[in-house]
Amino acid sequence: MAKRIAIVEDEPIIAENYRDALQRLGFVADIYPDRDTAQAAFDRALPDLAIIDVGLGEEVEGGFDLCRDLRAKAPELPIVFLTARDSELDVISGLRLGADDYLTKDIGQAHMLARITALFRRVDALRKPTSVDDLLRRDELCINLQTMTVEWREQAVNLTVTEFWIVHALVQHPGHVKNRTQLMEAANVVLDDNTITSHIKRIRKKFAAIDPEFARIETAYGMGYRWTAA
Amino acid sequence: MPLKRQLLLISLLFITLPWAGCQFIREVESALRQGQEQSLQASSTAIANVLQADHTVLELLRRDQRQDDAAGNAILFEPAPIPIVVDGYADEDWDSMSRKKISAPGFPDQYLNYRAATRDGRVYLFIEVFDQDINYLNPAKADASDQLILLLGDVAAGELRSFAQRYAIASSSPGRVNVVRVSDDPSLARAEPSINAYWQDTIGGFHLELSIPLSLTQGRIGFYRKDTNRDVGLLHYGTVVESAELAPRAVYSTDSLSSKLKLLAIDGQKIGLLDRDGLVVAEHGSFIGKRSDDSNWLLRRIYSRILELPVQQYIAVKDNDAYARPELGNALQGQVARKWYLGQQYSNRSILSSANPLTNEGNVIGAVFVEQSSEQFLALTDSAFSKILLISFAALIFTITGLLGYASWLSLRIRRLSQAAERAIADDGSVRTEDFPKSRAADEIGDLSRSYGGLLGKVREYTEYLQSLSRKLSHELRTPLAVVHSSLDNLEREQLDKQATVYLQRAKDGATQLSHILSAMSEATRVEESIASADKERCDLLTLLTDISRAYSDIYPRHTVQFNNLTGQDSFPMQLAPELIAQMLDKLMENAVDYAPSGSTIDISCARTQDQTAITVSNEGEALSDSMRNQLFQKMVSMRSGSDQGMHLGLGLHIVRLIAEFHHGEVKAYNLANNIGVCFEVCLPNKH
Repeated sequence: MAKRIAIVEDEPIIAENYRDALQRLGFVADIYPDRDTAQAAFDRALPDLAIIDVGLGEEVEGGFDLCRDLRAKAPELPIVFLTARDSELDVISGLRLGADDYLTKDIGQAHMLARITALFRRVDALRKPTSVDDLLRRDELCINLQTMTVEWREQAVNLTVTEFWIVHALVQHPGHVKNRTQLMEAANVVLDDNTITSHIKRIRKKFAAIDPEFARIETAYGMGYRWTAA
Repeated sequence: MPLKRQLLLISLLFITLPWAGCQFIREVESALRQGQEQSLQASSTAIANVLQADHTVLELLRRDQRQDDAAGNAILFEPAPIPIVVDGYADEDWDSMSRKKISAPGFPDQYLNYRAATRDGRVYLFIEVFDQDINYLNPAKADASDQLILLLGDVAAGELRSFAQRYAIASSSPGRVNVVRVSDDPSLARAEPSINAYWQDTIGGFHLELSIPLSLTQGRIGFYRKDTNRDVGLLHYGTVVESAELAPRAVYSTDSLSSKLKLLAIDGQKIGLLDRDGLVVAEHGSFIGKRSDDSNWLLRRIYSRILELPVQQYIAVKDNDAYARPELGNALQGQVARKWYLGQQYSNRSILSSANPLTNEGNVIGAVFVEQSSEQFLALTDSAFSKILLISFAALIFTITGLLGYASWLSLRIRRLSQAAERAIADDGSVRTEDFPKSRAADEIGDLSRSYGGLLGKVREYTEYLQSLSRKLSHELRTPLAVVHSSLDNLEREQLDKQATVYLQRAKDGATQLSHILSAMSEATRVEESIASADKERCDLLTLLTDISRAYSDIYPRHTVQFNNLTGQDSFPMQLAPELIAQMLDKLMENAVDYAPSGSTIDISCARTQDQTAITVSNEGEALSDSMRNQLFQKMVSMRSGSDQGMHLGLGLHIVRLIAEFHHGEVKAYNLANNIGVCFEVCLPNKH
């Protein structure tokens, strides 16, 4: 059965373009132009994935409210923000509300679709038993490539897809410096340097929440970042 | 010129106030003087009319037409205040009379002094003779004795000629002396009993006192001494010469004249009667008033400068010097005249003299003058004048001080306003209106302040609008761009011929470039946000600089990157946001690489003082112009000449400044020596 993807977007052309692209990949896409219609539809039946714009018509932050409600209803449901707003504050607010990723609208379709595929794969993987092949261990770090989850000292670190890809790129070759461009490629994003910096910052914070002594992601000034072996 | 000085200059106009006061005083003074002149002229004319109608005055002043008295000097008989006792002694009865000296012509050491007085119908003479060798009368040799010859009256000798009667006075011993009437016929010579004479010997001479009835003189009197001198022979000297046929007129005032003048005189006036020769026949009264010296010399000087006081000093008329005073001379020529005199030096008191001629049958026979001090007529005394001066000066100073204070207050307000206006606009062009004072004054400066405040508010809104414009624009453009992107992505999936694929690729490239532009436009805001949310941590700046310099060597292979540690220390941990410092250095490095010629060295160095750490990045290349140096670190300022590589919205150095300021430091740019390149210096405080 085809996956259902809800596109909550007030700009009909963009919504239709995304729907076309998603349909081409075999998904079923429903378009909701505002919060109320989306809410009503979600009450009837939950989609398999939701792509939400932050600004919805008159409601400047309607997307955030919708995300909060949806997350309350379905803790496992992948939610992706796709918005024109790129301020740091919006990204933090969006992710704090439980979104799995926060994308700006200038992201290429290929990159977006890669993410959606990845998110579905993760959801599927969560229902399957973990195979050892999918695990990548580095000392106290354990990465499950299938579920796209990370554990540090046996504790789950809640990373977004973008963050997961960045961590994965770093961990693959401990001690090697990955520059920002390489990290961007790994994370399937086209971002500027500052965004990578803030991603790294957020990743460090997430690890530090579990282990205050965490200092494995090191800055190689002028070049990039590296994962240091213990 | 500052407002204060302008107002001070304008306040100088107030100096016209005392000037106007002085003009007023002068006008009043001159009007009063004219009044005084007229009234005094009227009174002198009246007195002249009274006197010339008076018989005794006419008698006294009348001149005979027969013969002039070239032969000698008239004797002026002064009225004696007390009766004179003829005793040969000059006691108190002669004290008030003036003494006159007569020397023998050619022999100045042979002389006599005489005094003359009149009282109760007689004339008196007191003659002091200085002679070591007195020849007393020897009846045997009458001609060889010393004699005093009196010439009195006139005796008609035919129609045109007349002669004086001579009287000889010689003494054989001190005491009462007989006066002998001289006659051509010696047998007719006899004593004249109506003339009293008294001889008194003194050391080195003798005194002779004479009393002659007025009637005997017939208006003419003169005398000379006949001195038989042992050494030089016979000498004649006196008021007349020996050969004189007629004696000069006797000039005297009668009691009736004095009392007449007394009747005519008013208090504070001096009346004088002159005969034709300018001799004072009689005078009465005094104008000397009470002196008031209560003002100081400076004020008196200013006062006299303002009032244009007469310059000629007053001189009292005495003896024959009436002609020294022009108005009296004019009067004796038959003209009515008046003149102002200065009463006293450095005094505002002046004396007015008004003179009228006295005429009889068309001939001038004398003159009358009236003198009066200006004191009674003065509009202003010294004290009043000084008060006016003082008050106007005080008013002047008060006004100027007030104006100055007012000007200071005004300029203070304007200065405050201008300072507030300057403060409101920061160096980076941002406008802060929060602490702009809101004036509640109802005047124009208040209006100015309010409208300036309003203007600043509008400017701030506009600046904020401009600042948010790029962000808003990029945000607004992002949605249509997403439409383009997603449409192109979809189009890619469609079946397209080769040519269409080319166009599609071109469209995609254009859209991507647009995306880059948009993200560059909003970069500043994002950087500001990320800087604001950055956390500082303790880290070693030296390690950071060493690592990053090494990294730059790899990144920029066309340049040599060299790091110089000028601190002499191995590490210096500081409270920093290392990511931001690295970002700052990235920007400085990008900037340096853009300008440095290929193959040149880019120097990164670090120096430390007690208070701060300086990081410098210097490169060879084009020098900075002075005008650019200040704007360099502002947003959207790019000095790059060509747009050869990518997007340059002039954010790099702005970000450098933001990061330096985040660390409470500052960034400066200057040219290297000889303008061979540029150096950027970031100074960070060691502690904050």
